[in-house]
Amino acid sequence: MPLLDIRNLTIELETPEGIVKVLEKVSLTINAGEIHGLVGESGSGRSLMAKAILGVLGPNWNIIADRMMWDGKNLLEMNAKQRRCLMGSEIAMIFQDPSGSLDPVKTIGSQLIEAMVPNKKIPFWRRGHHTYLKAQKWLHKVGIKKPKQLMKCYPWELSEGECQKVMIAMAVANHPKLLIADEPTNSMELNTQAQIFRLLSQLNQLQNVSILLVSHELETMVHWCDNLTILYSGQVMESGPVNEMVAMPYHPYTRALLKNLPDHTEKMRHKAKLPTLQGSAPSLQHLPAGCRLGPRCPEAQRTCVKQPKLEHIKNRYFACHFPYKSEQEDDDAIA
Amino acid sequence: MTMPLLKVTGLSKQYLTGYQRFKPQYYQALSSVSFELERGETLAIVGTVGSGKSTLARILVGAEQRSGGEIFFEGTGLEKRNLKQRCRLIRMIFQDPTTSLNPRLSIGNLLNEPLRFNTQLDSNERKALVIDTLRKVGLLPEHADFYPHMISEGQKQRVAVARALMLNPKIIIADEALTALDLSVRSQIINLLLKLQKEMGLSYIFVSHNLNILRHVSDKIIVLQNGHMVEKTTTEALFTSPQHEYTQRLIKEQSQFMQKR
Amino acid sequence: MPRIKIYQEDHIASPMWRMWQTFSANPFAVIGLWAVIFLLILTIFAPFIAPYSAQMQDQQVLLLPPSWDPAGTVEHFLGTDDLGRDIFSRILHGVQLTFGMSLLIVAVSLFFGFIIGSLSGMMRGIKSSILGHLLDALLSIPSLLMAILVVAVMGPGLNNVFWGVGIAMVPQFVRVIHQAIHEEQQKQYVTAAKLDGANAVEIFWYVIMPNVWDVVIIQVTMAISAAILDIAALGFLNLGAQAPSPEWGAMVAQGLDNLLLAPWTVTIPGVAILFTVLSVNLVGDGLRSALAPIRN
Repeated sequence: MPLLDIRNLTIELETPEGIVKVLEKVSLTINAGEIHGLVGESGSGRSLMAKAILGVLGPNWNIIADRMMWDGKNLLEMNAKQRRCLMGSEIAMIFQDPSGSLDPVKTIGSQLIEAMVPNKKIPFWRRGHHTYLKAQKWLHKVGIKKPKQLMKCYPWELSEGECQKVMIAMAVANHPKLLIADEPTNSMELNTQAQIFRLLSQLNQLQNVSILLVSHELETMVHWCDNLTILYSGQVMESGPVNEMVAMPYHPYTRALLKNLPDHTEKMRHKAKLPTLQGSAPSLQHLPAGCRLGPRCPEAQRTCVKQPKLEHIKNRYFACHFPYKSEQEDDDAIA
Repeated sequence: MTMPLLKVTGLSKQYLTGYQRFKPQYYQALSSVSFELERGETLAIVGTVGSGKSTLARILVGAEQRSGGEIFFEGTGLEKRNLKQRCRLIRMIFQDPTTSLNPRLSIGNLLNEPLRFNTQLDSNERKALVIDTLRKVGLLPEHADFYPHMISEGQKQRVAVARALMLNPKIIIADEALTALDLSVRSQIINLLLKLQKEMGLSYIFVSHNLNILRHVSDKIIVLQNGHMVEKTTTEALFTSPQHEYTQRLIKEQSQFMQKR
Repeated sequence: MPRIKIYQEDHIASPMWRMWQTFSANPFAVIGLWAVIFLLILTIFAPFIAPYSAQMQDQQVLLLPPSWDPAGTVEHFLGTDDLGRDIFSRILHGVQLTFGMSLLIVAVSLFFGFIIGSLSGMMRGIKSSILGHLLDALLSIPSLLMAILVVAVMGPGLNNVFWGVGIAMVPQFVRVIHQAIHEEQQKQYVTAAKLDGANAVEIFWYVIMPNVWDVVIIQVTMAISAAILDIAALGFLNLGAQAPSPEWGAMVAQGLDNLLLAPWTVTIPGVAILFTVLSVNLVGDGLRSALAPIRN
């Protein structure tokens, strides 16, 4: 049974111009113990989806779904209190700007201890010290070199990488089943990014934490994730295991994205034009009808005005009227 | 031998960090960087955070003053504080398009400014030049009335390119201009820059840490570590046989990171 | 061939227009704006529409209650005071003194404060920080106290109130403008403009000022309401407008002797002050909330 099973999720926003469907019929399935990547450019609604899973959207957003099951329980029927209990113990989230997510007036140690649930089995006079030792242990597990010293520091004394590691420790200390990481390495340099991703992958293997990675960088996701879901402007384009998708993408959007990464074999000349889609993502006021990639898609035809249903071949899902079924030819397309 | 377009010799920069027992203490951001750039060439400056690449870019464009060394443009030395001379020769595209465009000015006014400050053209000629430049970067003349908050990130970066083109410079410096963009927008901007290079014979200086893209677009690369230039070669030579061990480490990190499984 | 319009928006909303739209969607702000326009009209036309002159005394009708009381008459709509002067006419004449004078004071302090603030904002380093600290020292004196000091030195009277309150208001403007300009100079588009070859004056006028106007406007509304209260307070303390001037604060002070007999002589000028300050504050609040989303 999958850990998180979302089918046909639609999120609507009430604007002065009417109701806008920001996310339209998005389906997502995460199994236990996998790293799932949610890829999309800006405006695709991926952060919105992460927040909807967690349940922190405001009252002006309507969430409609055929199915939204977490570990067998229906998320749509839960009230705020039950959702909150879930949030602390079974689902955790880390955010984009780690040094902004930490309280600047408290030490790291006090924030970490605050985030951890105390163990009720230990008698109360020893509980404080036990939690303190556990916090130190977690800091060591996430790769911080001197945990005892760090617990006394304040957030402004740490680098971005260390702050993100502390955030991960805070998120994972209560053994959640799912960790949602919303662009965890946005502002970091390559070395630190590699450290954070290695840490996440270790947590996935050793602690059996499933991870939902939300990002726009296809290059890193392709390297670290097991499964990938590609969103464009609020609709799912393709989803499936990473290796197969990279080797043979079915959807024109996936292929266009993969072509954006220059591979330095002899096929592409130095300083040649990079093949890319024309135009830019549609804004919320002017969403196209049907498949939202329509205006930019190289394979678009008249039937694309009707939104394609999500079909699947074995374990790969795609939503396109004209998918690529054959081998990737060498077409010097567009731009 | 023809004179190189840009020749930098022994450029260095130090910042005053404070005083210790009445003696001023300095932090050496750049020490003795030298390179040359020809017409129509693209130079890439690579390094991690704190290596001094942003400082180098800012010194070249005139936003900061160098502490030592010389910069020669087609043989004539560039003075330290003479921004009027500098802005017609070297221009810059900033990293974040949202903060580098004035939110209160329409795009037409924004592009009008360099002309108003530096040239003697009257308003009709300026308007015509603005529309011409907008077309060159792939935007429509209607965009001149838009405000920055109405257009997307990619279009904002195109406006930044248009602003850099306004005074017909010979060199454009892109200071991490591509890191904040999505993949397809990044490719579009790169295609635009390559097209402009072919049409107008511009030279570029790219400052970035994404070696993959730099390998595709640049002819020469210099690698900076803690303000020192550790390697300076052509792109192909750098990637096929890197000499310095810092360069080798950088390339290995990138390739491990970017490898498709 | 006419150019085909590709975008359907006919009117591109400039930041000013957006601010106006947000402002007019707030009902309180619009009410405040109407009230302020009404007061401005009164400031100009009051002497022509007041039924009696401010000084005219009628011995027959001392301490007449307002017209809604059974003993009052409609000719003296808001009653009379202890010297037989019609309160309604005195209120109308007082608009010019209290409200009009406050507008004049704010205009003049804005002018001087703008010049000094811009100069100090555009300077850097030691010069600007010296000026900044000098002004901080001036700012620490409360404006009413400063006005009382000036009036104590120069003697009472409405003209000296002008100097007192005006001098007290200038440091506030200077500080706000200095702060706003300094904040703008950190932004990246100012560096971009410098690299465009602009000199300091051009950067100030074309790049920094469009972003600073909204802060100045908010400060102006706050200053107007503070000036009204200062003028009325000084009039009440008998340091500002002297009797028999129909200034509202002075009217309150004069009516205080008959507070129990004829409360309307005190409350009606008080309500006039309240109305004026409230409407200016509503407009100022509306402007502030209209500008907040644009800044983000």
